[in-house]
Amino acid sequence: MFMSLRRTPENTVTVTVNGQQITAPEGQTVWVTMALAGQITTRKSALSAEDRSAYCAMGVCFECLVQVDGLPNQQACLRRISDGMIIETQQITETTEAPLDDF
Amino acid sequence: MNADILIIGGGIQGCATAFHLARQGASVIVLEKDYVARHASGVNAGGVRLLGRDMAEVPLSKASMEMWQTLDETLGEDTGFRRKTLINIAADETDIETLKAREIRMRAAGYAHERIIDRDELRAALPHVHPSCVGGVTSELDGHAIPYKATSAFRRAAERHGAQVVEGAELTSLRQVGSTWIARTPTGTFEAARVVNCAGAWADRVAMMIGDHVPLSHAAPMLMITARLPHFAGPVVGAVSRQLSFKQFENGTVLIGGGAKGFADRDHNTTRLDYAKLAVASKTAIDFFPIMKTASINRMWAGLEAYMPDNLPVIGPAVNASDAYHAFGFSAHGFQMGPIVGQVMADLVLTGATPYDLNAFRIDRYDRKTL
Ligand SMILES: Cc1cc2nc3c(=O)[nH]c(=O)nc-3n(C[C@H](O)[C@H](O)[C@H](O)COP(=O)(O)OP(=O)(O)OC[C@H]3O[C@@H](n4cnc5c(N)ncnc54)[C@H](O)[C@@H]3O)c2cc1C
Ligand code: FES
Repeated sequence: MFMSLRRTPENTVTVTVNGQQITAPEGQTVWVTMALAGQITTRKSALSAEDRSAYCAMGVCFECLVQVDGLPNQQACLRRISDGMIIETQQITETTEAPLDDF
Repeated sequence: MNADILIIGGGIQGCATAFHLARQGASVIVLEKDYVARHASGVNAGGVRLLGRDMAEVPLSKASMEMWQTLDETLGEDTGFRRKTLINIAADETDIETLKAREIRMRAAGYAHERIIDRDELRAALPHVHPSCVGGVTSELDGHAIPYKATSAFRRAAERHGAQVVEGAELTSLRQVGSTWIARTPTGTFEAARVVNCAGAWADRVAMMIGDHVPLSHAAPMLMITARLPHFAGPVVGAVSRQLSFKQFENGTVLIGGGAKGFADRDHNTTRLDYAKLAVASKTAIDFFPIMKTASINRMWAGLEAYMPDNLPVIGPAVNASDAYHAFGFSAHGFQMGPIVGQVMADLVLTGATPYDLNAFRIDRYDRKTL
């Protein structure tokens, strides 16, 4: 569905998106990285648990919240990827219970 | 406009007083300079807390706590009250010693609503608490409510019993002529036989108009609320000796208080936040609950609150005028007291007496005995 216009990136980094290893151009945003890999769901809606993804793609709407390195509520359309970054679809809904092995 | 009783201030104390008076048939006018629940009573942390009260406040606070359990039915409205239990966490053995000393005084006074818990019980109730915490103290009737809903519920219930609430009406002068109090506001003049001062952070000014001097100060306690977190805390949480206070709502958001103060400007109805202190409060929350390091703060605000030097309210009759009464200075824990304060004030105004000992709350307790 999505295609990068940049064919030959100078430097690449490797990140993990929901367990899938992805090598992508340095400087790319989290959301573009996810979308190019076919993983467009950044979070589940807190009330309906429906899939959500980027809407404005420019930092305004907060639709694209995602979990980065264990920290939820990060804007996927603004954050740039860095080597070793762990990106996960944010699952927090009104009924989520915190797992005890968090710390 | 005339009424039997004029109440200055449309916070929870003024609205609860109006409710208890009106339902006993008195005609009541509430004057509010802004709108009902605009200040402390609408923006506070909603903590309905009996735990850790000053000894002098316990009888009133206990009675209020009983009233909260059925307040929705009494008022015919949703106050958002949820009984949740409150736990104050003991971080170390020194805290446990503090709790044991208090327990001796509580038992001697005949109170049994606070119970010390050990490390195991603490961890069972709050599995996400930092493992270094050694125990705590709990009160099982405690919980939280939604401040603007509870205050508005009192207001509407009072109105259903015939009370009139006039918003945008700032009391600018008050004089007793014969047996009539004449109150002026920019929008009109009001007359009543009795007056009740529930003016919150501005109550010293109203007290002055009545004739009573009082060393009231005001400040701007701050709050923050997070984006939804996975559920990790059922009970309301405080700490024995650290500035920690938070509750997690059913929707997962966490309201964090703790008592840090911003900047208060009561002349302009405004507050400003002190972000450095909010950062310290956040750090404290993370120290006790490591899961909080994943929290995102959504909003921060502060409210204007009235404080007395001993952190106890003023509740009782005026000393330099007849037919005038005060209820203010709740020092950041007056929301829980609203239901009983309304009843006590109504009793005082209508019968001149109350079953409660109000000696600790006299307005003249700071009057100088010598020059
Ligand atoms: C941030 C914050 C958190 C808090 N958390 C808690 C908590 O968790 N639990 C708890 O029990 N308590 C808490 N409190 C304290 C509690 O909110 C207050 O003690 C309580 O609401 C006081 O009620 P009140 O009716 O006396 O004052 P207010 O709500 O301030 O009402 C007084 C009203 O009088 C009006 N007024 C003043 N002067 C005049 C005048 N001249 N003419 C007409 N009207 C006038 C004002 O506009 C105001 O609306 C907190 C307070 C704050 C600010
Ligand atoms: S898509 Fe709108 S903020 Fe990211």
